[in-house]
Amino acid sequence: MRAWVALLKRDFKLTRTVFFVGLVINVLIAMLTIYLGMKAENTLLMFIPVVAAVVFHVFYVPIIVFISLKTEANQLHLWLHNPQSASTLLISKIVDGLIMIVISLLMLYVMSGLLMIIPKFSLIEADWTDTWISGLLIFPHIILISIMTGVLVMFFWALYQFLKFKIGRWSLLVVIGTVILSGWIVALFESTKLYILLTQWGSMGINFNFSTFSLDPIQVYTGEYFYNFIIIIGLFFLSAWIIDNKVEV
Amino acid sequence: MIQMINVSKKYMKQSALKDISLTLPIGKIIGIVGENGCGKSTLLKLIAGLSLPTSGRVTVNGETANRRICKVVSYLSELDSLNYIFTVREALDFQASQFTDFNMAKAEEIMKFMQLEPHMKIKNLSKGNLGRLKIILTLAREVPYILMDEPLSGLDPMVRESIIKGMISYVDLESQTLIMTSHEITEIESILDCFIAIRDGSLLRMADVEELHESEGLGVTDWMKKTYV
Repeated sequence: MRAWVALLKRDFKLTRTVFFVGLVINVLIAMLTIYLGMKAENTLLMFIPVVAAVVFHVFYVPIIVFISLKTEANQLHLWLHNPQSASTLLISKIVDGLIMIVISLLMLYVMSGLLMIIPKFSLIEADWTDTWISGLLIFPHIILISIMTGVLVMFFWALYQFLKFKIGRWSLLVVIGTVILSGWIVALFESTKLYILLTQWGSMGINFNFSTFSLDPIQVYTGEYFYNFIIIIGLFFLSAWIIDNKVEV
Repeated sequence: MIQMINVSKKYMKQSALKDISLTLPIGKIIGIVGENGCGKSTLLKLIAGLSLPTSGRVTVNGETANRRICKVVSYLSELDSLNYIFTVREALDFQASQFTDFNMAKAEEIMKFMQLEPHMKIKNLSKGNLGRLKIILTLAREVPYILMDEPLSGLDPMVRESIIKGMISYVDLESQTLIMTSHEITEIESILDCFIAIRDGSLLRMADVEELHESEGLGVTDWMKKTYV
């Protein structure tokens, strides 16, 4: 455990600049929200920057993972000359990104909450409660999508590191080709009956039906979560296997 | 024991090592010598499991060398890259957290000998001090095999001799083998038990330094001048 905690601290140090810049951007967004609140007539319009910032968080973990792995690539022998398994080394980067995204989203959440209770904007209690509940539904999904994308970045990074010594300058082109091709194959597969059979079980409806606003219910399936979970776990361990057995310096 | 059996290594189409077979025992100081680009660094990386043979097999204590062989192999890279986010003290602590065999007392002792300040930030260290820190991090591990790729590069010629002598005093030849490459062969010759000469990726000769003296009346440097020039 001591070894892993030390790895996590190191990963935090590698990526902390991006984290702190992100927090400053959050403050700027809050200030923009206040400004829009003073200028715009519709009070809900002023929350557009906050909503955009929340949605942009799907890129948070992949950016953190990419920056961290980019630093490792510059001194690969240092990172690989370590007795921990590649999955241990990689999970530390995911947890680093997870801690950062949670703190950043919480900060946005709290700041939006504080703005809502400012009397000037005359928002009623119901607005605050509804936003709180919808936040609880949206944030875990933003975090999940972000982690999934982070694992994809890990996989393509590991593939690139493996190919680098095999095909040299063509490796980047092959990786980009693989990204496009795999995206196309996934899209094709997701339009098949097999995919529907595999994923459309355990129906759950996510309702955004509040007193202050409502959206059409979103139909989701336990099967979809399970399918994505298996794919991501598979890709994570495949990346770790490539790093342990195929990547060279 | 380190064993290489018919090991070849190619980087794409370029051959770095050709059909190398050798056995390296415990308790020796071994120098790998040869011209620039002859495959010295590749040989060390293969033993460290950081590079994988295109054909053949590398084993360390009977186990196939892959990156996790570092549990018995300590490796110093020729590159100047270190964890620049750390201070010297933090780098030692991090090394101790990852390698249970890292001897902190020994590291402190070598650090004192190397005259390195623990509070210094790595990103502010001179090339020479980076080299010293790499030596500390590598030598303070209690492992059977210590691999050093150009450990003297960046060090002042005035201090090299004392650092080489110091380095040797921190290697326990009862239980450890030190394998090093160096361009400054004259400076390390006096401490070598044995040498491996490589030319164009092929093993030219592996012999005890003493045996070379007895059979040809030459030191390693003189033998190299005679053979390579």
